[in-house]
Amino acid sequence: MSYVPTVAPGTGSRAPHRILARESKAAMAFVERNFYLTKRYWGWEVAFLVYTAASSLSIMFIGASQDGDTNRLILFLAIGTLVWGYLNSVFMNVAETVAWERWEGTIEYTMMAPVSRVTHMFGMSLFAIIYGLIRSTVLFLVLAAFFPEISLSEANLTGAALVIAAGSFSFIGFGIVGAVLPLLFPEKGEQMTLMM
Amino acid sequence: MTYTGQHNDVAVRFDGVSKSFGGKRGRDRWFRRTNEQSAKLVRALNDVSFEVRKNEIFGILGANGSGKSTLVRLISTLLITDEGTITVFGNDVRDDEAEVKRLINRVSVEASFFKKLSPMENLLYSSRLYGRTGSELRRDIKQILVDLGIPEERIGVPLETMSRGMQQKVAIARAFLTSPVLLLLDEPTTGLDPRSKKDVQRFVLDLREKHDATVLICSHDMDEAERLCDRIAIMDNGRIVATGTVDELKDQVRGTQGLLDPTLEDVYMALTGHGLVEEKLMAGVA
Repeated sequence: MSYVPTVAPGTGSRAPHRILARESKAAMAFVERNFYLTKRYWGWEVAFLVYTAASSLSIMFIGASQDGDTNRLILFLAIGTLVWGYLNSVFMNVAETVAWERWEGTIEYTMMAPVSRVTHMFGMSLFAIIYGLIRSTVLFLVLAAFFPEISLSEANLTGAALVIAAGSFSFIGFGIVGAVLPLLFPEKGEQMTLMM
Repeated sequence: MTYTGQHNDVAVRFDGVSKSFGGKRGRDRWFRRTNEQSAKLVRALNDVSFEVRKNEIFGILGANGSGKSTLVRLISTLLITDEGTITVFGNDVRDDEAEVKRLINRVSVEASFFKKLSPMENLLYSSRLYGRTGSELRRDIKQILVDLGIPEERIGVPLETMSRGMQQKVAIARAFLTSPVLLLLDEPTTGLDPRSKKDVQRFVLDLREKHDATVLICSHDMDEAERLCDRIAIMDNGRIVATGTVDELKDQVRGTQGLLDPTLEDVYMALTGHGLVEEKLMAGVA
């Protein structure tokens, strides 16, 4: 038995910058944990990505089958499916915050950790955004492989970023509402979250 | 029962704490029944008062359903008292929740983890919630797991591939890594083999000796309680029926019911009127 803890807790400073630093580290703990989980469930990640890509491609092929110049239509459909896929991913990741921990049985340990609920939600939301952006980028590359005519050279990236930011903010809000439901009604609450 | 003792070195103080689950609802409201008249009301803790001194290993001995886990959850800030106050190193668990959380950690009978993650990944996550970062964290995690008997090659594999005993050791490592000033152990060695049990018990003693920690341990293992605890409170049906050192408790029943040289189990049976193995059907109160 050679390990002896050396860091005494309870000595945390209450200075605002210290609190901010402590809470930021805690928020990053949620981000890191979720990336570990994503890595461990990589097979399912691939399966769901294939499913999303197949859905998006089927919509775009319907667009491509229309008469006339379909380039603009395909571009609209591609952006639509990408944005929808991103927002869906953000919502589901945030909404699963409580349900996943209940399922694993870790919720009590997270709740008794010296971390505010705001930090918890911030960490989960940050992960949801980063994960959603990475996933959407991969999805875009898949779509572009099938439709090389898609070009973003004239895209209004600032406008797109604003739309994504506004959408993320709204869907994180919905996600938080959905996340709370399993706390109120364990089984049915989870079903209600899926319905949302 | 109200605690009246005075100690300047108090780590945990319970003063007239009560906690119930359930209560009147639906039909009870229709018939205008009070909480006490409702069949659904389960009184998990009933006017509980005691104190745990700094650097003490304090045992709570009780059967399943006696309210031990509720007591631990109240200290952990996971439940709120109905009546009475609980302080941890002078901080009220309701008013100074954040400060109390920084002082404590807990090991419960269920090793609750993200089963797909490895011990290293799980412990990195939990340690970071307590503000631990840096390269020495990985080293410390490795060290504590090896100390607890987890083979080095298993530290990176998912926890779902490990035995319950190994998972419980990882749970103990999780609590120790945050170096809690107050460690709450809720039947931590249940389900462990004798060797693992001894490892964990030695670790608890080490933690107290070298880190000046206070330990509150809930158990129904008489040998464990006798080996580890400086003082023991016997709990029955949500009430503390006796508190003292093992010798003091034995003295309380010596000579009664023909007990000349009572064991701790004899003490428990004499003071509560039943054995530890009797299950009590108290829904929602483990």
